[in-house]
Amino acid sequence: MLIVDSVTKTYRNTKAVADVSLSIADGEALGIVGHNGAGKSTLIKVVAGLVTPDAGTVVLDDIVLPPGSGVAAARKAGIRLASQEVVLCPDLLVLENVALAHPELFAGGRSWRRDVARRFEQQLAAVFPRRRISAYRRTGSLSLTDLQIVQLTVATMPTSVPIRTLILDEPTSALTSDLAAALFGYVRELRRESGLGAVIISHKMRDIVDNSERILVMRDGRQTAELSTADASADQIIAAMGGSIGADAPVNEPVRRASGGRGGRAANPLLSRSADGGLGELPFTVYPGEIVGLAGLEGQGQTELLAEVWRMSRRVSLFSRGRRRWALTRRFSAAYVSGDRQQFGLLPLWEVRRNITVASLNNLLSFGFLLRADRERSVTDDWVKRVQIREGTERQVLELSGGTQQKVLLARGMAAKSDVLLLDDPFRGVDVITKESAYRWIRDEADSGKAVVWYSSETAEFHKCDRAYVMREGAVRAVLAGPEISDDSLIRHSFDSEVASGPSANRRNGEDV
Amino acid sequence: MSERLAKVRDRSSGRPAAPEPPRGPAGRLAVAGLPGGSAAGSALVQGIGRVDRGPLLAVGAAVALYIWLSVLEPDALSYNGLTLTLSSTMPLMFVAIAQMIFISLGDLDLGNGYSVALANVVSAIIMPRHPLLGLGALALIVAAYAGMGALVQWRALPAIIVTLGASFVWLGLSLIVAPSPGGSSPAWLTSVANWNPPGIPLPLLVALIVAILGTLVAARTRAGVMLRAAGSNPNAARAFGIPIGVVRVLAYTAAGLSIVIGGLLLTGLTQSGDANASADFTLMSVAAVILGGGEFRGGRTPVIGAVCGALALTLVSPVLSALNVPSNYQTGAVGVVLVLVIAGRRLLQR
Repeated sequence: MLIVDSVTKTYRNTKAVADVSLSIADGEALGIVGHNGAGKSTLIKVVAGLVTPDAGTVVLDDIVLPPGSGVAAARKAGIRLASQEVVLCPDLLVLENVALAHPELFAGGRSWRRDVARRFEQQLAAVFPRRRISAYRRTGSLSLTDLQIVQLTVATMPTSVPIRTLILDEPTSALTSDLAAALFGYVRELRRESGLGAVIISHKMRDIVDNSERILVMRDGRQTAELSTADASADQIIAAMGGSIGADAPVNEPVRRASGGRGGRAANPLLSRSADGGLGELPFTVYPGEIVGLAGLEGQGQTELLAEVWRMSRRVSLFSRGRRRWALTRRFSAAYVSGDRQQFGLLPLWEVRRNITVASLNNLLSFGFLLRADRERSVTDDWVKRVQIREGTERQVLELSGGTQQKVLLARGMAAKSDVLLLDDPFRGVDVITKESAYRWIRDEADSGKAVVWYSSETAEFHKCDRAYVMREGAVRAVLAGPEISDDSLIRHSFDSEVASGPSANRRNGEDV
Repeated sequence: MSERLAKVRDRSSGRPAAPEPPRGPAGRLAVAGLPGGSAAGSALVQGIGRVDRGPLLAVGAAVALYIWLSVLEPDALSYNGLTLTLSSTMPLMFVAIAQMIFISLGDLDLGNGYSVALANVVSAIIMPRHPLLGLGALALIVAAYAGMGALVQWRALPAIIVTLGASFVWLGLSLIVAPSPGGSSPAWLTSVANWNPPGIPLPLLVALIVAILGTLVAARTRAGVMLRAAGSNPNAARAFGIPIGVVRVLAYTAAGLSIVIGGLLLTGLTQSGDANASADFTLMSVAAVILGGGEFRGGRTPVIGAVCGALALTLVSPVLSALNVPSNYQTGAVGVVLVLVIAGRRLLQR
């Protein structure tokens, strides 16, 4: 019996997990669902001892794990986690990673390597009968699917420390459906035989619905519903994940430009990418003067698509791979604003002025090579006024607050006079007031004829878009325009599930929502 | 399960199976630092099996250079020839092992040329007269390495800066101990460094012992696996519950110990202490490790490669001498050979 009691975890000023409690009986499986940033992964990392919570305790079969007791204590109590990311050492042999994960296997004496290899291969055969991975392979040479299989094999492996709770975070993200079936079959067996409790997190609704008894729905760090899988309807689950509850549901732009930018759809698209012929993939098109959102769960190919557009804007791209899928009506220029300002944005040693102009120096030259200080000054003065940086142009950029730094980057992107403005989740961790004015500036940019392509991890921001492309597994899966953009529809299309995106007639049956 | 949900499931079961998930950047798994193995690549690796190709280049280079040398100078193949040509390798071998430990953690020791010199002058100037004092001073060098490990770990300082700074301290201390080259080697040290074991020349015996012992420690012991894990992916190591700080301090200590052994051997071979004579060990040791299959990002401990790398690098000079290249050109020539070989390594890895 696992009892998690009122766990809270705060990062800076966002509550990743707010007062969440859950319990899992022996032999029971609990599914956890929620949209991006709902706090699922943080919650289970707290349970596994990887993250120290601000408050809350984990109790497993009368063993109390207070905050900060760490990974080793949680493991000893019998908690096993197969995490969403690959946490293996690429330079080590598979068997060495196995032995590090289960230190008690080092006790195998002089022949511990052979011993560990044998145990690994046995366990692999037990969970994934038709998959062969040599324990002597270098881990870094494995495919993504094999890496996930190794991780799952390690997590389910019996050792002298009995498994009491098995946590699977997105366990099927790189598995084919028959491998996923093998995994869940094994877990079901294990639950029945040794009475362990399981936690399953997945964005594939089917994984949860088929393999859990109860479903915990999370949203913005809070638990919004706890349902019995047998009585739950897809609509109930989606409603609990989405934004239709609560008074703070965002309102769409008052004047929707569903039919394209100010110039209307009569204009040719600026760029478009045809579908790859994959199952259910849709083409991607951008018109001048519109704001296009890239929605979907995190890591479903949105940043890659942004990067592709960026490459298309460079001459080099004419010869690069994947070029053939793209149709450009003309050469275009692009500017890029990232939300990861430390890594992809700020020039930390420079002042605000040069941080703004660095992307548009070409417009400030005379004779093609001399930088004109007077023009630079007047341009930055204008921008600082427009994006309301009270500190002025001469301050060191690192002396500014995070939100103001982000304004500097946005000003840089807008000042670049490009045809396309690429936004890579630019308002992560930015305060509401800054955001609200930034939305206005972005709309102004679009009105001036620029195309804006905007990836965001916040569903609410897609209400500021004219159209939203929902991506899943690297491809565009749905296009929503104008009033169709709602939290409900965005979440529905984000989750890869026949249950969630079933025929609308079926959805409408959910009168109890 | 509600009827509604059951109905949807029935409908969906008629659909074709889900396509194989993408392996590319679009996949959900975030794989930091893991090169995605293509199907063809994995098959190749499987075919080769357990053999690590890392040290092949260094082994090949050492053997090739030696064959070349013995063609030019047939005497080089004799017991005495081998001993003479290779004995100067022994100190570099130990310094290279120390550098390998640093590099396996993703760190770099830019001061070991001078720390080995300090061990050299301490054992040549202090040790003959005050053996205990000398031993204490050598122990302090090892302790200083442990301290640098702690500094790098817990103050999050770059190892390059810490060791570069330390190199000035080493040089300063060496000059205080030995303002000018001089001193002598303790008798026991001389006899160790010049011992002629029956059947096999000492440098080869030492290389063999270091390679075998080192490989066993790196591959077969828990400490070795933890060292490589901490260098390969610190996040994963932390998730496995490995105390990375302890690993780093112990690794630096071992490196310091290896450097002191190198300094002692240097004294036994040269019979004197010189604060400046081993300055080029720093870059030579880095070169030996990289030639031997090390990776600057960490995670690899190519012991055999580092030992053979040290052998190969020492052999370049005799070969050039045998080819009558003027000695003033040799330093530059060693550098050119090195760049060519490491450039060649990239080709070998494809």
